[in-house]
Formats: sequence, structure tokens, C-alpha cells
Amino acid sequence: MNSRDHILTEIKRNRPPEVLLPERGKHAGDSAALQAEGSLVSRFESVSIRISSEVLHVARSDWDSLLVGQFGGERRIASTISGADFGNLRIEPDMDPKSLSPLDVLVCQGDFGVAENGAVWIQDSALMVRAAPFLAEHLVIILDRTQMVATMHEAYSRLQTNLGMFGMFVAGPSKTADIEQSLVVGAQGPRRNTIVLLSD
Amino acid sequence: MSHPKQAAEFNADLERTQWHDETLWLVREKRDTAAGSVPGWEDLRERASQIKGNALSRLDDYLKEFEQKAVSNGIHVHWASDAAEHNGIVLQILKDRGAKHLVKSKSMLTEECQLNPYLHANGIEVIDTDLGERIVQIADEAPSHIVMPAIHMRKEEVGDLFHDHLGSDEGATDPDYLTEVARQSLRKSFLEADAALTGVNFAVAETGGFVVCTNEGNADLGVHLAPVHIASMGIEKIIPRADDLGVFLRLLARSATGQDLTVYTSHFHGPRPGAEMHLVLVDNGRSARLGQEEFRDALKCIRCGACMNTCPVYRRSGGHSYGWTVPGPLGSVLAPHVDMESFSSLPFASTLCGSCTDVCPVKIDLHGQLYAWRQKIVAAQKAADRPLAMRLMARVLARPLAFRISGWFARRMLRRGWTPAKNSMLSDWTSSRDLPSAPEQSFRSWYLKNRKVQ
Repeated sequence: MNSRDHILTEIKRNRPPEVLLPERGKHAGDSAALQAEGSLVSRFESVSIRISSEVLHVARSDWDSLLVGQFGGERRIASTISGADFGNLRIEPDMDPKSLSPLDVLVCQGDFGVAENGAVWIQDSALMVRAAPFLAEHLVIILDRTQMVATMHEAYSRLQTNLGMFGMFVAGPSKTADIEQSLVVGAQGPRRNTIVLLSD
Repeated sequence: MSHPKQAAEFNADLERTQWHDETLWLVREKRDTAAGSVPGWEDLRERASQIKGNALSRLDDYLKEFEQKAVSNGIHVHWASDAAEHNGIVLQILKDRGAKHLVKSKSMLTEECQLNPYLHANGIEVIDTDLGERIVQIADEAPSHIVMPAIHMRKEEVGDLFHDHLGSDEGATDPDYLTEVARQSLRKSFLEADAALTGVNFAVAETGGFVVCTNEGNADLGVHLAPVHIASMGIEKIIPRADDLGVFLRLLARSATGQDLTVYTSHFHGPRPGAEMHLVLVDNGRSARLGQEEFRDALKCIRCGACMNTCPVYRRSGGHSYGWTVPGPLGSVLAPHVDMESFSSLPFASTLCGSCTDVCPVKIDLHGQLYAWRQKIVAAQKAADRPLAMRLMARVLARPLAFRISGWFARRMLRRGWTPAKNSMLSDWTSSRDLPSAPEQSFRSWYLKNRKVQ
């Protein structure tokens, strides 16, 4: 018997009587409590600041000129947002990801934010190169301020099973506390994480 | 191995012990704050425990569902009955692609399988990329905590190691600076690697994908740059639905470090164009544990480390005193499955205070399992010396004259500091405890003098 069949047979022999699976999507909801504390956006913003993200509020019409002003001086900047007239590096899905290194700034689109933890969901279609948001010294995420959910439960209700071939929640710049529990921001990935919240 | 002996070695450095204790308690307090900020936290724990209970009760079905979906997503799925088979599979994947440089993110499973020494012996360079794991790798030590691998080390020691191995300034101890030195060195490794290995936090049966959580971004830097991604997972990491991730992710980081979520929560469902993704499902004793009713719940564990941070014994004895990959209460219930005799001291490395059970996000009855192991171990050892002492005591207690004489004798011995209990050959009890001072007289003589006047 091969290992697969052996393992499956052993499990079948040893598994306990079936335990009922709780129903999907039914959670002792705390989204109501979150809502009551104020808008999801303000909760998202305060949590983001606590986890060392930077939050900018920008009108939809102004965002790319604002970014040009902010990051125009950076040496190597890539953007995966179509139609934006900044970025001086070519970024394409089928490129060798190593050729992007070193990367000073990556600008990309986030799908939605999660108020309870300051995370933003980004899928590979918005990254083009999966390595890009990790290689970048500074990650800039453009996010529509109306695209906000309260908790991770709502996040997965929204995503269903459409998780892409790769998708991720990003909650702040990379960090570590592995030396004496001292918090260091900028461990292996980005040293800065900026979320640009767009409003009409 | 003996936990008390190894704990005594750790305790020889009193200042370090104190620091270790306080630092981990701080992490426990952060966990409390984070848990307290979530309305319905207890419901969440209950739900997580139920989902894991269901996953274990239908584990074979979910594994098959997972495999089928994963394969159709383009992931190569491998099965390993034990550590040796796992290591062989990983080596074969590397050999087939001519890979020589592997970057690895944190994976307790590969520690359990002793993958690093095996790959080294077969000519593969392995670089651990989590900062804490990199530190212990350079120091040639094992992790002492599953979430904070280098928590037993002080920054001066890290500074010395980095000076010797990574060329940092002599005497430098600033964590910011040392982290930067490691970053520069690791970035080079990421760009040079021809394969990357990660662990798995959760694998979702209905979608055939898996989730890896890190704060540093090291797992992602490895796998998105290298042409081959190998993920190693224990078969118990399966959860039924993507929706269940919401439950576990709300619990995991809060229980582990007090963060609301790890910085990166990466969902892998297939390789990027031109790359390969492999997943190794490892049993290594898990399917057998599933059949042991009193111990099976430990398979629900999501490896947050909260039971370690809260454990009064772990905090004061350090992870290495447990002599196994996973220390603390969880390690003490897992290790005896591997070898009950050599790990027989671990279930006793506990006060049975139950704090581990109270903080466990999936409600594993850890102290109950520790207690159950004690029963098994004592039954196996037959504790030859104890029955003799007990038999002797029973005879003395049953004979008033013998009791009086031995009481008189014991009081005199105690006053002179002579007692068999002080003999470490016979008992460890007084190695770190004082016996009470001997009373002037026995209760019987006090009673006769003061009360029995009528």
C-alpha cells in the first residue's frame, strides 16, 4: 500500500464519531459592536496607525498627481495600476521577479480593507508579480474608502472561495520582535506601508 | 532527558530566568488585551474548537477533497507516512531541479522531521529566514519557542553571533541595527535561492489552497522569487471551508502575540506562471494519535504558543529544558507520543494550574492531557520507590506507639537538619524547598498538657 492509501486507511480506522460542522457565515456577530464605535473607516484608520501603517485621504481625481508629488523622486518605482502616469519600471506578470530588485516603491490597488485589524486584501491580478509587494521598500496601496468590512468574517463572506491563485491580507509594514521582543519595523519586506484612501 | 535537570541549567542564570519569565508574561498580557477587545471571544474559541473537531472526525474525506482541488489548481501533492519519507520527498524535488540553495521559513514540522541536518548531509544549503530561526541556526541551537524561536537569547549574544557570522560591528546590540544586518544578508539569500520551503498554517479542503502567516514577509520573499515552492504540512492542518479562516485568523495572532492579525496572511492556490508548487502532507504519528480518545484533541492545535507564554513552568525553565521540538504544555503532551520513556519527565513539568487550557484558542484540555499522561507514565514505571515509602508510612500511621516514637525522632532530626528528605539521592523535594522548622512538641503532648485537664 502506498503512503497515501496507508494514511487515509489509518485515519478512517481511528477517526472519532462525526462532530457537527458549525454553519457557515453564522457568527456571534461583533460587527454590530464595531459599527457602533463609529464608521468602519475611522476604525480602520486608527488600527492602521497603531500597526505602523500610514493613511492618506485623497480625492479620487487627485490621487495620481499626489503620488507623483510624493514619490516622484524615488529611484525605482513600479505601479500596477493601469492608466497611472508614474512609475519608471516595467512590471508584467510573466517577468523574472528577481529583475524587479531592488525596488523602492510599489503602488498597487487593494480590494477592500478590514476595520478590526487594518488589513487590506490584495489579489495577484492587482500585483502582477507576487514578489513585488515584498521586494518593495515602500508599499503604497490605493483603496476605495467605501470598500471596507468590519471583521474577518465579513471579509471571507465577501471573498467566498474567490481567493485567486494567490491573494493576501497585508496589515502594516513588515516587522519582527525576534531580538528580545523589541519591535523593529522593516524586517524583511517593506519598511513603510501607506494606504491611500480614495473618496469622491 | 530530564526536564528538572535541564531546567536547573537554565535557572543557573538567575537574571536571564527572571527576564525570560517577565518577557513572556508581557506577551501573555498582550494576548489578554487583544482577546478582551473582541466581543464574543469565548464563542469564537468554541466555534474554532468545533470546526477542528469536525475536521478531525472527517479528516480522510477532507484530505481527499483537498488533494483533488489542489491538484486541479496545479499543486503537486505528496504524501509522507513519517519524517524520513518527508525528508526524502523534499530532497528528491530539489535534486530533480538541480536546486542547491534552499530558503526556508518557519516550520515546526520540518524541525520535527529534522529536515535541515538531512539536507545538509545531502549537499543542500539551507538558510532559515525567519529572524529568530536564523539566529538559532547561526548559533547551532534549536528554537526554544514555536513563535519566538530565539526568546532565550539576549541581544548581546545575538550581537556577538552576528559579529562573528554576518560581520556586524563588534559590540553592537541595538535590535534595529542587528535586524538590518540580517535583512541585508537574507535579501541576498532570497535572490540566490533556487527553491523555497514554507510551513502551512491552514489548508482549506473546499478550495485546495493553503495559508501561511508571517510578520516579516520572509515566507513570501522566498517562494515568490524561487522557481520552486515546497510547503510541508501536518495532515491535521486541514479546515473544511474558506469561511472558517475568518474564525481561526481572528484567534491566531491575538493568541500568539496580541496582534490583531499577522502582517502577512498569504493564500496560495497555485504556482505563479513558470514556477512549481509542491505540498507534502505528513502523518508522522498523527493518524495513530487520532485514535487515542484522551489525547486526540491536541491535533486541534493551531500553534499559537499561548500555552507556553502563560505557563509558569515554561516561563521559568526555557524552551530547551523540554528537549523536544515543541516545548511547553503542548510539547509535553505531544512528545510522549514519540517516546514515552525518554520524555517521561515532561508531563510533570507543570503545576496543573490549567492556565494553558484557559488561553488555548481551540480549547484543548492541555492540563487534563498532562494529567492523563502522568497516569500512564506512573503505571508504566510502577514507581518502585514510592510504594515502599507508602507501605512504611502506612505501618507507622497505623501504630500509635510507632507514630509517637518516629515523631519524636523526626523532630530531633529536623532540628539538626538531618532528614532523608534532605538527601537528594532519595528525593528532589527539598532541592529548592526548605522543610518547616520542627515544633517544640507534638500535638499530642500539647493536648495532654492543655486540654486534658479534666
